[in-house]
Amino acid sequence: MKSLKTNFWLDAFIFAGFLAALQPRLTGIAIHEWLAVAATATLVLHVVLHWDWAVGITKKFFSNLFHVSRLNYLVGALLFVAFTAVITSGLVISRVVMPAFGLQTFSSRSWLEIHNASSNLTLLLVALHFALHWSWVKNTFQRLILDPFKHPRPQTQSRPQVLPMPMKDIKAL
Amino acid sequence: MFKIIFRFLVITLIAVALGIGIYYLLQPSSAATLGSGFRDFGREGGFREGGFSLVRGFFGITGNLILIAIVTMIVVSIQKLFSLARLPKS
Repeated sequence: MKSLKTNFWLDAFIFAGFLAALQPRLTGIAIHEWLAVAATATLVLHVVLHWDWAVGITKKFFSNLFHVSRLNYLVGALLFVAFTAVITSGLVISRVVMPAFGLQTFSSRSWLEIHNASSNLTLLLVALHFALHWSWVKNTFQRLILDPFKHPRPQTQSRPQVLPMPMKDIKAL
Repeated sequence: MFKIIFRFLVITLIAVALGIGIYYLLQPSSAATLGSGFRDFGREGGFREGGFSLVRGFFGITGNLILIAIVTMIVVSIQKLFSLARLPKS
């Protein structure tokens, strides 16, 4: 239950951050760049949390030909590559993050177009990744968000109150 | 804990190596001007030219969410279709 909660909230956080980072108009260029850097760290954490699954599928990738896990795995791997391309091209044309570390970047129209194309591809892959995990998202949302409202936990029975012993009884002892 | 840190570092190293690979792979082509055939969904290019706009930003997020919803609907429908096809005939 704890790992389910962790996975759900981390994924929701990444999803919201990703949507915001895709819109530099909304955030401004500085937040856009720092948000993308933060998203990279949380995405690596996301992969770390699914390490056992990824290793398991890698081991039996060619043994079972038709399996939905293989599609999930391929989409995940493509997403990793596309996101890395977004971050790399973003760092090349960075105006805030890289200069903050004293590194000079260059303004290139071509790198900007690579950045846009890879972010469009990443958006499509995120949509596919989300769609392939739709049943998990739906069930977890129901379990963690809706169910506690529908069936609130019964209040825990209060412990019987221990009354202090009357003074005369203590004296009688 | 050590295991998690080790895995985190391994994935980060893979991402860095991949990033360097992508950089050197795309570097020569980036010197030439690419055709502007890519559709920019009102993102960075537009931002650099147009500037900050809260309303346009929210419109952009809504558009992206609609795109995700459409893809999800299509994929879930296809999955349902295939799962129905696999049901045994009664």
